[in-house]
Amino acid sequence: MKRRGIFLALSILVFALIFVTGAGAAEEKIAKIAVYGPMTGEHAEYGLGFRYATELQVEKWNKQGGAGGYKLEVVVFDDKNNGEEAATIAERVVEDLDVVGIIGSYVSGVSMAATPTFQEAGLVNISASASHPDFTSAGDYIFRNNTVISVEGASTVRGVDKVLGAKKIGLLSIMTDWGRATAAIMTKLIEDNPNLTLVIHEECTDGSDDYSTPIANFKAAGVDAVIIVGMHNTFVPFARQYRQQDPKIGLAAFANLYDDQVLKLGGEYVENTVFPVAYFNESDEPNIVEFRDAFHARAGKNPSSLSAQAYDAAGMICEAIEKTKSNDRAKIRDYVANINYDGVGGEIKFDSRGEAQKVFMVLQIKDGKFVKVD
Amino acid sequence: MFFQYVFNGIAVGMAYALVAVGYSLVFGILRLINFSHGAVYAFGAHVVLLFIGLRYPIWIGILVSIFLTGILGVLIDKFALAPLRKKKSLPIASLITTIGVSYIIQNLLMIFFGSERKSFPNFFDMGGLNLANVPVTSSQLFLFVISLLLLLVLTLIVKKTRIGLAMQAVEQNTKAAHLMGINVNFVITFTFFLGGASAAIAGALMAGYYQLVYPTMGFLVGLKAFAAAILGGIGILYGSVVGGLVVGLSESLASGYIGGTYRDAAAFVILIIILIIKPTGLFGKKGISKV
Amino acid sequence: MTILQTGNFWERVEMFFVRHRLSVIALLVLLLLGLPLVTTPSYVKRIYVLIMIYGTLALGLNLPTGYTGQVSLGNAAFFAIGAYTSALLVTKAGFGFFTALPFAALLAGVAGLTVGLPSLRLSGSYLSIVTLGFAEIVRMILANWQTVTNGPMGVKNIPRPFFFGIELSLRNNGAYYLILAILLFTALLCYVVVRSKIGRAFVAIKEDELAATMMGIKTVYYKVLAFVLSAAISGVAGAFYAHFMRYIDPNSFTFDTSILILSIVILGGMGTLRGMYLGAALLVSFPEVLRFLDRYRFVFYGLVLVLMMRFRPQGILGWQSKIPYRFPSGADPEIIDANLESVPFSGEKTPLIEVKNVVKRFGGLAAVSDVSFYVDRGEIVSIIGPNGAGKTTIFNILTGVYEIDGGEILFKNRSIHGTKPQDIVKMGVSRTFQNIRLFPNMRVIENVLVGTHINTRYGFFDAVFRTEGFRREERAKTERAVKILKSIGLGYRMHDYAKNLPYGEQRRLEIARAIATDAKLILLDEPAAGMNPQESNNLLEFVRLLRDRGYTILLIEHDMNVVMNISDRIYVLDYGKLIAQGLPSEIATNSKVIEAYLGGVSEHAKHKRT
Repeated sequence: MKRRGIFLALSILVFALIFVTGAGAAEEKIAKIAVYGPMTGEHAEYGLGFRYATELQVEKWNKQGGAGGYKLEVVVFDDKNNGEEAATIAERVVEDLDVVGIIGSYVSGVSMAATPTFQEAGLVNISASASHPDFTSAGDYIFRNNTVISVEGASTVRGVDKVLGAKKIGLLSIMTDWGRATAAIMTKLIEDNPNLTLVIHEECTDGSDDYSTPIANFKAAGVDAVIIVGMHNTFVPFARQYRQQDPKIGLAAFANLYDDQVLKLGGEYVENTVFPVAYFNESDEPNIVEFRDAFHARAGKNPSSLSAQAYDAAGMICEAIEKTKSNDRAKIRDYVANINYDGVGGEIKFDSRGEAQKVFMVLQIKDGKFVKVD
Repeated sequence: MFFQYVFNGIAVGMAYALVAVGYSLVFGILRLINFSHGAVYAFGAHVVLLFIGLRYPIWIGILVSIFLTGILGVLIDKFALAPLRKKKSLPIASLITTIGVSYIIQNLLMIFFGSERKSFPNFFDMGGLNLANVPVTSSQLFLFVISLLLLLVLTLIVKKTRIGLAMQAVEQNTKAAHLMGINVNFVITFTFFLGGASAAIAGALMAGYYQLVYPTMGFLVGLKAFAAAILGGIGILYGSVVGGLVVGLSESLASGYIGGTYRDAAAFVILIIILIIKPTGLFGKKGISKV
Repeated sequence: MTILQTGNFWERVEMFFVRHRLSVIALLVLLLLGLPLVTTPSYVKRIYVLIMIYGTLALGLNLPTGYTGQVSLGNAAFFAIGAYTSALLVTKAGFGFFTALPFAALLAGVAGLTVGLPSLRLSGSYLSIVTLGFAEIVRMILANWQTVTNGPMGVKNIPRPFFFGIELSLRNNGAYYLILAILLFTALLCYVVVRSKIGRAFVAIKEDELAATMMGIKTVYYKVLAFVLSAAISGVAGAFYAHFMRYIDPNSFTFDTSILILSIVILGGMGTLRGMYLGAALLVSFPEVLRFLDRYRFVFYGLVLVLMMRFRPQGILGWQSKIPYRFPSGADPEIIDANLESVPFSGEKTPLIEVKNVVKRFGGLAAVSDVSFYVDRGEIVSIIGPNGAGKTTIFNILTGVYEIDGGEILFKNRSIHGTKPQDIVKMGVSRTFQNIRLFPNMRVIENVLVGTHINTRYGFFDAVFRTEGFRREERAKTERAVKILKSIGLGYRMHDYAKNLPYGEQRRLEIARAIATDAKLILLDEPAAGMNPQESNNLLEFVRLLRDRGYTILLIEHDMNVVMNISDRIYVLDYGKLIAQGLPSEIATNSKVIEAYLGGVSEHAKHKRT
């Protein structure tokens, strides 16, 4: 019977906590940049990458005395890759008036549960990874510093054609918003290229372990190269399983492959893979060197292209605060919308829909390294 | 193409069977769905990974993992499940407990090993070969043969050893077994050890086959293996083997003929169809309810 | 009664709540109405809304899982079906939220029916895995059926609900009040369903499905009903969810969602309504509250589940109420006498039941072979015989548990073999069990009320709308149950839980429950077993009283004292065959009987009670 009392007391305590955690003390002249994404769970590597990148950008500015007279702070939220949590985080973030912009989240489906709230409250949200074709259609406060599929895809096709010299192409795409949309665009791009023929298209579940069936079908169709529309959790096992049966098969993919994880996991099986990137670590440009080294020191690995995009996204918000000398959300948004930002991922500007326009280079994996080939 | 799909399905199906046996063993004795089995399987694979990281030869890693994972199985029983049995709790209490345990194991693995996929050596790849004109990788053959051998060993343990006989006795009638002087608690402990050990072997095999290890690797495999165990008639070892093969085959054929995106649901479609036709699974025995 | 003085603090609190329930509920509703007005951070309001969504889902899942004992691991599927139905009707077909809502409930309900009907004959773990599999299949369909569901792209820009031109958003508290209305409506629905013969049938099925069948409860109907209601409620919650989140995709409804709903039900307290609200409040706010735990959040969650099951498996609010049973208004147990009514009986000695050459085999073994007997109206007939003679098998045959392999059974001159147990009860045959099969966690009065189930004449809609017919029936049946209990000497035990009764009283309660079915023929399977001489004498008195009131009794008994004292006639069974029949005095001297009973066995066996 006593236990019942303890349980009730605990429940009341938990309730009280909800209210207490809602209140926070505000200080003078602080501007906060929020970052949210999966910091725990299956996709934690991506959320943590965003977090480190944002923190590094903000630390860089703070070392120079802040931005526009404001000391910058990073606030981090874990959404566990769950839309309900993302939406709750959004409510929480927009009510903290010190927050001037938010980076994230990782998956479009999760982010899109939160974007209506950002739009309504008028808070700039820049995603470094969202891939849903309609992501930015939520409104004029929603931006995407990820690649535009058609531009990126054209570079992939160029790599397959020029670097691999393949003719008969197989397409493997994951069943996600991005996978479906990209597969449709790739189909068109391949058909438009006179040197290439799309002979077979297979679809699979995101991050599945077994690819024996699509591999069998690709081999039966006699393809020279396969373009994989998927993240590295799909690409690497597919590459390994395919190359074990046919070491010569050509492989091509997308910018998200730019992650040391791929080399570590794929080893010899991912050799010669081609894919496009806008950001490349092996550069002697000082801002890239600085970012790469700082990121490596913090995360123990080189930044992926998604982390680099988050770094630039945070940089754009910092620059907006600096230039407008304000933490006014509307002013920040106007600045970002018209920005011409010189980031680690090259020159970035947004089109009228809020999509970042970028220039791509083609990388190939050679002797366990990423090498620029085009 | 058909034979290719079939070979692919059989290879993976045997591995499912190996995981399914773990469910079946525990269910046979305790009538309990052990939802933590998938997480235990992931744990087993991670222990091997840890020892590879420490530069031990892989077979040492596997042996240690078999032992440690078996112990983990026993600990789960001792700390989480045995107290419930003692209190004669409802079956659902045990079910929820095992779900809680799987959350704990999975998230601790994420914290200590990181959530990302890690590379695992392919310790049984010897290149591709052709079997009656169907290309089969040696990995597939190896996976099939090793799983089959292990299933035989497990069957021998259950059918031919003293402890195996005791397990069967407890399965038939716990009370009577106890009265006949069988140490029921030890039998249960042993069963959990065996379940954990078989999960470790399956985890290492699958990790080697796909050359991937990650904390959530046991989730889908666990659900499918569980479906396989029920499909074959849970508590019956050869039923689990057939169930595993049916699941492996059906998902290989579904992804081949319907589309890759139907793969993960195939196991459940087959399961539901079979249960509707035969509510106790393919080889399940119908219990006569005593009034 | 006296709980206010004697009960502990929590019982007194509960008593207070029940006594003043109308004021308490009014106060709570007022509080809930005012809550958003005093809450400023809108993310907290958002959590309130999520709590109420999951509260609704938990109330839904509680019906099959908490009440009927069918554990569903796939309620996310019905949640998803409701969400998609409403989202698609509104975005693609131009429906409004409130016109789409009934369709969401309907479609989810139909889905519940399609899974429920074939799979409810599965039990326990098997049902759970089928629901789990169903949820995975639904998710796969949502992801693959591109043309209708948009596949993995999900449905975006789902408009908020409009109520007379007002957009119901979180900011204007419209969303809050809408989900509050849905939650209260669901709670009310669950309350009226649970507090009726439907709810009693649900719990009886969970407690002992076979005994419930023997009370004439159509178990399949009630299990499916619980399942369909659960699905429809989840569908409504889903519809609201879609228009609240404004974006849904197949990944919004995963296995984790199903587990969260189930955890709420279990943490709060299965089979209680109060537990659902607390469970939802705790588990939904939990991720926000525990943000400081960082990466250990889910380790902690797992730990909470494990510790909870170990130390409080009935859930936080899952205690068994110690306050007295609440009688329906108008039924006053105090003024009811112990005088059992007579059943119409002309006094004519004609066979009520006739068994002719019945055979029952198990495998190759004939448990009953070529047995014939009859029982006249108003007679007490005993079947005796050594252990394993086939006596209980005969009861199982008579009540439809077993099908016969040959012969004929006539009740009131109509053949009843092949008739379902439920229908046999309805025709007027009821029984008790050798190993007592009460509904242990139901009150004594409720056990008897389950007995009245088949003759309680109202349907689902009467229960929901609390019609005049419903109230009249509840009152009448409660009064009858009280009368039966008083007549068998259990009047003072009405409020107790069956499991807390001593052995002898449990036997009597089983008889009371059998009488409550309005049976003409009552089969008593060793009613005096385990009773002391005083108790068994009282029982004899009562059985005679039953006969005098026009009931017909068929008895299995080992206690020779009882048998010789009470029986009008006796049949003796050995190895499945009838070896003797006649008056008690004839049986006592029959050499075959003495041999069957004593053959080679010591004198002691004669008095053995089993």
